[in-house]
Amino acid sequence: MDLSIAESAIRNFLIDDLLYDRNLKKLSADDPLLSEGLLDSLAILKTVAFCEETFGISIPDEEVLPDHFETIRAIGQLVERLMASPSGHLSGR
Amino acid sequence: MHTLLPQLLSEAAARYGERPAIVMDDRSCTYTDLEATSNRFARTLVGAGVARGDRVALWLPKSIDAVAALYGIMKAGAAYVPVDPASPAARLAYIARDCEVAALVTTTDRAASAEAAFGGEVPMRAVVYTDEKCDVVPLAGLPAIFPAELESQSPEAFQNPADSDDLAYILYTSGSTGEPKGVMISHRGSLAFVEWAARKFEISHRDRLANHAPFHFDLSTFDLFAGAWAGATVYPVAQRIAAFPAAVARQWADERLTVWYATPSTLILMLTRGNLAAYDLSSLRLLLFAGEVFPVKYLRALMSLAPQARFANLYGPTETNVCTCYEVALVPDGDEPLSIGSACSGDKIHVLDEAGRGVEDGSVGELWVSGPTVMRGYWGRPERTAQSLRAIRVNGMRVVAYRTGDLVRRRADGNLDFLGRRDHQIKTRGYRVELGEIEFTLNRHPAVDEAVALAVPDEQVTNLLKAVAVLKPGARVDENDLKQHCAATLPRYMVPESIEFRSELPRTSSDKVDRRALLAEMETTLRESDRRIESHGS
Repeated sequence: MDLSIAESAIRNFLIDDLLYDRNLKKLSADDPLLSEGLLDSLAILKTVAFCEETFGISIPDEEVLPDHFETIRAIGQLVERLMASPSGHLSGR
Repeated sequence: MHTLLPQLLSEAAARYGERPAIVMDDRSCTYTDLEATSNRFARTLVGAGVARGDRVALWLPKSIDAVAALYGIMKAGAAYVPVDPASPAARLAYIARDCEVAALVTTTDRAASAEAAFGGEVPMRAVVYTDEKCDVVPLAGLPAIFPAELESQSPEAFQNPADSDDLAYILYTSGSTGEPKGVMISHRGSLAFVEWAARKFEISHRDRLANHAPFHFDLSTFDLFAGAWAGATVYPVAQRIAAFPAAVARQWADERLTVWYATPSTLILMLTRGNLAAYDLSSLRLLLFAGEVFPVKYLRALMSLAPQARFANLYGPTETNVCTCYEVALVPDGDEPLSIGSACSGDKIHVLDEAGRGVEDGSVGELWVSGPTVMRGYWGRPERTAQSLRAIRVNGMRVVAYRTGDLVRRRADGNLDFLGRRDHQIKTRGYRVELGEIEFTLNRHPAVDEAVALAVPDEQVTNLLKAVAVLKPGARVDENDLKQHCAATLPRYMVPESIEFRSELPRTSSDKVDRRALLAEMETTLRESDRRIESHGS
């Protein structure tokens, strides 16, 4: 399956730095991350911090909602939307 | 006066049958429905061979079915054993073997990983699935029960064979020697807390109670059972949104919930990341918190958002459930830590010195608890139980008390101040963790020569977990390998945030690992990195 650059960076972060789970090597962009409790609140905060740092964006607290973290693809879409909007960049603060 | 927890449900069904008992995920069920479904669960379990005194594991995400199952297990005369649904299947396998469960209630998508973790030797008689799927892996050839079979059972009242000293549930907590221990709580013990709390906080059928804590965490017993005691409606937070403070805050405000009970970590996140100040919280009348120390500055902020609500700090390890309570009558103005209050739930508290003698008010001692909420013991661990539950003399009378390991001081006004631990048990995000269990797990890795787990204090989550490891000569392993190793058996909240490698560990003069020196270094590094983040962000 083709992953965008953002999606594959997020995927690598989740597998290698957040969940430390060998069984997740097959994790795809559309696999559910939330329904099985794979990501808890601290994991969400770390994912937000990773995306902000890696992609130079700022994710407002009110965007940190289940719909945007349901799958790797959903996180990628959130990141791309914020990268495209001028106010999403750190420099725009 | 009740003798069994499921009586609370049956009475609510008789009195408030058409009122909603549970609302979750746009679904709801009335007390009549919940009573009927739990009766069907009870009959199904008894039909599968579950008898009075047995244990039945629950390993599934929160759902209305999970609530019905937990009542059904108790109605069958058995104890429910809730296993963290986010934990690896290896933990389920450990717990199921440790307390020899008679049956497992789970969902079909978990069957394959459970099968792998049990490795063919499944210590139970049946598996009940709460969902239907045709291609499910049969767990070691055990009878599998699906919802259709459940539906075929009679919904009529089920004659419960248990009595009030029988176990209602077993909650597993972290164990210092690497093995989680099952805390046995009887119906009588749980009811002593539930009935005290429901009366003290005037829970009524008009209340709408939040349920944030997972069912393996004893905060959930207030939500479920005090809710049923009153015929109130309980709103469990779905797994999908539990990790999102903004989503939880919105839901609780939209549903106009009247009672919130959560850990300070959860509430602080809702305050700092959940935009709580934007919502109308006028329906909130009672906010309870427990599980860790609530830093006063956050409590103050929360109290200013709901000035009409009652606030109370509840204290008690799993072994005693809530045994002290401090109602916060006035918004605290300084930064003095909040008191844990005075005895409740019919319990008595004793502040003793090392020799077991009472200390004077104002002096530091260890908190011991006696009374109805105290556990029956640790499942299958008579020696460990004997170390924790001991006979003490109070006014010439001999009482059995639980030794908490918490250091406290009684103030002049009779309320207790919590001062810390006498051992290596710590809290992180409201979870109780024995550092020894993490160390045991790290030391089991073939490359590790010696490892130390440390709790680095953190304002928002109480503590962050770190570890330092020394490898065996020539061994090669990286940080992620060790984290993976931990995540294979430990719940995720017990996996250290970071693992550092050293060629040796600092020692005290008595040749013990110098934890204090390591911790001091970690705290310095953390403060420096915080400063970097702050200057970067401004």
